[in-house]
Amino acid sequence: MRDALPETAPAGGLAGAPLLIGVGHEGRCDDAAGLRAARLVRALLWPRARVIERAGDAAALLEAWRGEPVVVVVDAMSSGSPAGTVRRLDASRGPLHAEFFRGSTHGLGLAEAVELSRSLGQLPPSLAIYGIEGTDFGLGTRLSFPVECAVREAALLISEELLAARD
Amino acid sequence: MNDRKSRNIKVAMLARVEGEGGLEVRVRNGRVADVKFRIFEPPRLFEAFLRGRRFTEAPDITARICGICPVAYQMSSVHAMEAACGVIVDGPLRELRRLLYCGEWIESHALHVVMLHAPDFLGYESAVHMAKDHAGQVTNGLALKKTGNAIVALLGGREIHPINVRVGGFYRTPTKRELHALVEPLERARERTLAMLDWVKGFEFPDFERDYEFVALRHPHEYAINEGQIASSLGLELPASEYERHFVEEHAQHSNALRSAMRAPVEGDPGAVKPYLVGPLARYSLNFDRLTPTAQQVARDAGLGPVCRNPFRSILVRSVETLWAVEEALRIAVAYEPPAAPAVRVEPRAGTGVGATEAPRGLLVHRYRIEADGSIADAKIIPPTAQNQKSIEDDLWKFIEPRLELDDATLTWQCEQAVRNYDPCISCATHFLRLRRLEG
Repeated sequence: MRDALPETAPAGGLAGAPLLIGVGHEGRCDDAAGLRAARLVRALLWPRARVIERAGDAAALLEAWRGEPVVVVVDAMSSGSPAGTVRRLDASRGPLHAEFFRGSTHGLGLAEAVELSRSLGQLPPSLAIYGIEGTDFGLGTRLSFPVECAVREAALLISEELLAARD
Repeated sequence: MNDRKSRNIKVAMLARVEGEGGLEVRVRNGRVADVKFRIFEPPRLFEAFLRGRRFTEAPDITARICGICPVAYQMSSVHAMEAACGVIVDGPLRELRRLLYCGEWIESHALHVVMLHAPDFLGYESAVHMAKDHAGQVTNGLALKKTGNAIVALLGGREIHPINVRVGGFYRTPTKRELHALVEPLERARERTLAMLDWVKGFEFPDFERDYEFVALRHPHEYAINEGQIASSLGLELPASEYERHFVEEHAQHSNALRSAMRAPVEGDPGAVKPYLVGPLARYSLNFDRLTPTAQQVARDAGLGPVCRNPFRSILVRSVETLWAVEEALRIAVAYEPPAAPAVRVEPRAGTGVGATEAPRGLLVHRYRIEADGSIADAKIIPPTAQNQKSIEDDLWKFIEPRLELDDATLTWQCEQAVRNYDPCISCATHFLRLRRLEG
């Protein structure tokens, strides 16, 4: 399904705005949490935020955030916390737990993208990762109830952070 | 200290491959007693999903089998459906399909060469670890992959699981200007590929050769990618429609993927079969004379002859194929004239069609039987990793025995590397549906 709001806002309106990247897979239940949160932020803040979506492939993430000063990423997480837990991690301060974030089966996902960027000297100076704890990563397009609620919580937290970064 | 004459090597989960698989090797009294390349990713049942769907849906459904080589699935499926319906797609549409496929080869090969395979040769656990010391090469490889992605995004509508391919052609074709925008990135990609080749040709390769029977497409005029006869190094040459007369699929208990073998009847055993190899080594060795002159020259400069039987050198062959794909993409982008229509009309008719194309990992065969109303009655998909399973295990049998003096860690590392020579795509291989009938 196509989103009614475009990925980027009208030309000239967003220079210097922080970038939000929603990460996930639409057909894997709670794995879509990052995408849903990002869309909610886009609806809340448009046209004051730049919001893009990626599947989670490391190369695509590297390309998306290269040269960006302030980046927020939101993705589903599998850390063992209760479903629906929202956690903010500061990737510019240290490595992420790779096992928290389900990467591609090649093992090159979000955590690897962060470390690859660090190794290459291309890590954004400010890179915040919002993880939404999922519980069902099976086939399907429905979020579990705790994750559905957590998506809204994460969207509000991210919106506040993006607005503060603009000021 | 471990008894090196009798030991087990076990890799529970292979790293840097697509999908979930493992490896088990048993050594007894200085001889390899058993090798199992285990594929435990669950069956994915795609052939069953296809039954009853419209013939036009096959490219979009099968593209979902793999996030790395969706174009291969789309191409084999559209060729099979067009064969069933008696339609040939030619001219600019054929060229655009070839260009789309080149994009997939570039992104898939660049990913494997730089991010998945190179760390084996340089002693790094992963590309992330390697990037600290080889930042330039990693950046170069990622940029190369990006060029491949850009081609797929332009022609396919998006980078992963493209949605612009249809039976008969495309939903939308690019303008001349859109396609010409690829020329400059492709020229840079050419330089990047040469730099990648310069890097990998300096790697050390184990002294190991196999007497494979190569199987790949061969075309009279082109480096075969989406058309041609199925050829083998021992002289087999047949149209795709005859594939199943010469090859069989069998099931091994330790694997969730069917494995293919070539029929090799002998006196007293008419059902005898033998393994064969598909993929870059087979394509290259059967089609060296179809490479561009530049690709042939850089292959020679990299120490490759016209035939390569060392699977560890597949990293070089993939790099040469990347150069070929970049040059072929450039040729098509420069010469492009938009077609009159984005697709030719394809009306269904009852029949069977087979399509065979060259996925980055090797020959990919699709066979469909469709009804007169266009519904799919039966589907069969034979991916390259399923065809190579036996060769992977045979490589390990032959590779390990002379190296039993190595310590466990080193031998395990080299065994994993031997599997990664194939760039195996396990998710692709576990597509099948096996029905068991319970009597009584």
